[in-house]
Parts: sequence; C-alpha cells; structure tokens
Amino acid sequence: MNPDPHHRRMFIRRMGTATGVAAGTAAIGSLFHNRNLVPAGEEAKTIPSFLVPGTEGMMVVAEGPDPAFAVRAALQELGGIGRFVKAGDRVLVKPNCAFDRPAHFGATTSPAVTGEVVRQCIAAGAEVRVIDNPINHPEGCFVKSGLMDAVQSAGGEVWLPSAALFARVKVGSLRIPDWEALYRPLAWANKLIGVPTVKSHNLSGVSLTMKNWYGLLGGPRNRLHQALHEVVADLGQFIRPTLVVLDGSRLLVANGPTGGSPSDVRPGDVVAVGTDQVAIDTFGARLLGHAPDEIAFLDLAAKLGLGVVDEAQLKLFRKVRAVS
Amino acid sequence: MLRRSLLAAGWLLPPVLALLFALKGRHYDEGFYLPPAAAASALPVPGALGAWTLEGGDVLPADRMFEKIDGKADYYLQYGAVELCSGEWVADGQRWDMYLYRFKEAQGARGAYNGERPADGKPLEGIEGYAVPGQAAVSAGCFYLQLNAQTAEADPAPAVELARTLASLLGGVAGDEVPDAAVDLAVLAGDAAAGTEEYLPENAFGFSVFAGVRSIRVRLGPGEAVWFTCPGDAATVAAYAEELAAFGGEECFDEDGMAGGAMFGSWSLAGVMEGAVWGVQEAATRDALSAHWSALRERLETREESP
Repeated sequence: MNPDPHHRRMFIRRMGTATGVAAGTAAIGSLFHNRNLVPAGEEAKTIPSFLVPGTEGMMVVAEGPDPAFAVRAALQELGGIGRFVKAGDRVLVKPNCAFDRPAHFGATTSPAVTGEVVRQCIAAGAEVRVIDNPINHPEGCFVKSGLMDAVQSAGGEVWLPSAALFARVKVGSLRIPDWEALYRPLAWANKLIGVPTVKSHNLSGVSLTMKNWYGLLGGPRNRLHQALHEVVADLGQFIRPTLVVLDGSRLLVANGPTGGSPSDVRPGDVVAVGTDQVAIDTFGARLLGHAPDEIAFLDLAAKLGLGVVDEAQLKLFRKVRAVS
Repeated sequence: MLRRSLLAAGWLLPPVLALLFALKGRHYDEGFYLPPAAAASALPVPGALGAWTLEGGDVLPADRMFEKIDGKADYYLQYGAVELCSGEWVADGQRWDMYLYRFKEAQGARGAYNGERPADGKPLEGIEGYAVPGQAAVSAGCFYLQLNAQTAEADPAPAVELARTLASLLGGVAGDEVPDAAVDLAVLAGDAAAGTEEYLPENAFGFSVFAGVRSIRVRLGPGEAVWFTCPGDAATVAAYAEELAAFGGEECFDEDGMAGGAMFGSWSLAGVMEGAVWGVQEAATRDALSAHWSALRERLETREESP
C-alpha cells in the first residue's frame, strides 16, 4: 500500500503545529504560573545597616513626666537629631503598633513619643514614613492606638502594609536565616528609627527594641514564638537602626504583650535613646524588674556582638533629668 | 462551517487554558504576608442587647487566636481556651471592645480570669467579676469576658451592666459552676499570700500528673514559693517523682510520703495530706522548700483544729 504523500505531509504539519502550540502553552504557563510577589525560591535580599558611622555604642536616658520633652532632651544630649538625620533623608519610623488597643493599655508605643520622633525628623528636613505590620488589621491598629493621628499631625505619613511591600530578606544566624519582610519600605529608607514601647511579654519576658522588629516581618510569624529568644536575637542582627527611642513613658508591667487591664500599666516617665539595642533592651528589662540574666535574648545578642549588657562599656552613657 | 468553528475552538483551547493557569499562578495569598481577616462564625452572644449593638463581631478558634492576640494566645490556651470572640459594643456614643474567651471548662475560664485580675479591681456584687476605670470583666461559666473602653478614665458602670447581662446569657453566675475548693488557699496563706489564687486545669508546672491544680504564691522569710493542691493520692506523688527524675530533676528525694527535687534551679515537692495532693513549687533553695512545706503543713493542721 502506498499512502497519499499529501495526507502524510498534512499529518506531519498538523502534528508539528499541535506540538508547537502545546509547547507554547506549557512555556507560557510555567513562565507566569506561581509568580507570586514573594516567590519561595527567591534569593533573600540583604538589608543594609542604617547606623550612622561614628555613633555606635550610645545611650541617653531622659527622665521626666513630659514624654515629648524627654525625647528632645535625650536627643540633645546625643548631639541633636541632626547628628543622625539630615535634610533630604528618607526616614522610616517603626513604632510598636501591634494591637488594635487604645494607647492606655500600654500594648503600643505612646502617640506622644512617636509623634515627637516624627516631628524631630521633619524639623531636620527629612521625609518621614511610619510603618508596622500589626497583628490585627493595620489601619484599625494605627487609628485605635492613636498613632495615626500622632503621626499625621506631626507631618509624617503612615505607610500601611500591603503584600506588594514584602520580599524575602536575610534575617539572622540562629533561627531564621531568611523570612518575608517589609523589604520595599526598608529599601526606600536611608535611615531607620525604632520606637518600641516597654512591655512585658508572655513568652519572651519582655518586648522592647529588638522584639519590635518582629513587626517588620510577614508570613506565618506566629511560628517564630517556638524559639522566641533566639528569634529576637536574630531580629537584632536583621536591623541595625540609625537610632532607637525606647518609650518608657508608661510601662506594661504584666499580662503583655496585649495587656489584660489598664491596671497593668504603670507610669514610667522615662525614655532611652541611643544606638546600642542590647544596652537599651537591658535598661528596659530592668524597668520591668528583670535582671539581664533573666532575659535570655540579651545574652544571645551580646554574644553576637550586637551590643553590650553592661552600660559602663558604652562609648557614651548619660542620664538627664528632662523637666521643662 | 461547523467544522471550522470546532477546529478554531480546538486551537484556541490550549492558549486559553494556559492563560487561566498563568492567571491563577499570579494569585497570591495576602493572608500569608498580612494578618488574615477573621472568618465570621457563630457568636455566642446576640448582635444587639437593648440599646447596645455589636459591631465587627467575629470568632477565632483556638488555633487562630494568634491572629488577634499573637504572643498572648498561649496564656489562654494553657487554661483550655477553645475560641476568642471579639467585637465592639456600641451605644449612645460609647464604644467598648469585647474580648470573650470560651474555655473547655469553667475552671479554665476562672483560672485565666484570676491570672489577669488586677489587685485594684473592684468586685462586682452577685457575680464573679471586677471593674476598674476603663474596664469591666467577668468569669461566667465557661466564659471569661473583658469589656475595654477607648479611654483610660471611662466610667465602667455602663460596661458593668452590659457585662452582667452578657454573663447571664453565657451560663449564669460563674461561682455556681466552679466547684468549691475543700480548702481556701487564700485563707490558708493569710498575710503571707504574695499573689492571687490560680486554677491550672492540666499540666500544672509542666507535670502531666498534676491536673485540676489550685495554687497561690506565698512569701515567707526564706523567699517566695507556690503552694498548691490537686486531687490525687500516693500514686500521683509517685508519678510526679518519676516525671521529675525523667525530666532531669536533681537531688531528688522520697521520704515520709513526699517526693521532690530540684530542676532548673527551682525546688519542688509534693505529698499527700487530707486525702489530696499538696505541694510546694518554685522554691529558690532546699531550705526555702522545707520552710514552706513546714508552714503549709502547720497551717493545714491549725485549720483542722480551729472550730
């Protein structure tokens, strides 16, 4: 039997076309499928240090009933905000805005301290954006905590998190080598100021400066609570801030991190401002009645070279009375 | 004509499928990066009560409580919390945030409530609850309810009335459902009490053999420790001694019907008295442990002799 050569050519041509379409389909599908904004396989990005050279190892404690005045007094003692923030800088401010609770529960940074930090940066000529990835609905947390009003009235902008802002970043060396975090805001900024509050924590004992960077993470971060002290030390490696302003204007002394009752909050009348996260966290732990050796992440962070537990080893340590 | 249409449809099908496949791939779960929105579920309370209406009510089961109270969920879970109901009660310009925890047992609700109850909380008459400026809370049946104001100075009176109504809906007065302890630990500790009484339904102090534990922190000359009691007998004490040794307990002892030892720098012991297990936890030294045990025994005996 001699098959019709026309039919054979037609068959081959159609088979070839069908194969091409199938291959094209597969190529298009695999090219676009699962192109998440944060693909799991994406190489983790590195967050640069925001520390201003020459400002390492500094801490000033300012005591006084007016939190904003205390912030100004501490900054002045450190050489003024201009030593850390210049005109034209893009400053990212990270308060603790974790929960949609009113400020008086002490679960979030006080509006007075956050507002003053924003005001100082703007006075220095910087553009200021404030960000957090709260536990609850972000906008609700910023509104209910009073931080939205405080930031906007100080001239800053609240940057609400969205999925597009996240990317995989390198974090630390102990538990979380890399994780999803608010990369784009961190890439936008050339200065970063942490403004944590002083509060007890059900799992880590205290929540202060380094724990505050947890709010820059996304993903299933509740899993991180399984080894929280190591994770907090990792967070200390993750972020090397320009400045930290620890808000001890009131202290959540029990039932943290959410707070159980307004009675769990005590007046603190103090702020600690500086660049050594470990020293500042040690100071904050003492405010809550904890010796440094009771808080495991302090020792871990110190051993990683992130700072010093003993304030006597700081390059600059001062206490000032901030009374107007 | 029909054949051509079918052919065209056949050629178009693969690219369309590829497009759908690609579009699906571009979908990302925002909840992976951001706090997911809580799924609405049946609330154990109505959406309106008199002048009050509940806004934004939602229910989170135990495994999703972290979405609302990350870092604190473990506290309630250790008491057997099964869900967290939240929302905002609104009436006449007032807004009170509701945190309503449901527990497996009424004892769990009472334990979590006792653990958070502030020392300055003003007791509510007729129900197990307290009020402070800006807050009212009650323990009612298997529920622990908190109503929180938007300002620290808010008069809790309206929230107290709302809490009373909710408590009556949620299982009545808590005190009816929590079995009375044979011995009131607060009375036993007297002036030495350094903390409020707590109830630990299971795995108390990390020991699986201790369940239904009542405890109180007590301050004596040698330092603070925790006194506790729970149902059990000599077999419970023996099982505790075994767990202590298995978990790396040091300098373990077993004498005069009681067993104990040190672990992670903290001393503890347990023994049987009055048909129940009694013991001391978290003593800083062996001497402190002995002092607390002696005081505990003495107070129990004195109590027996009292008219």
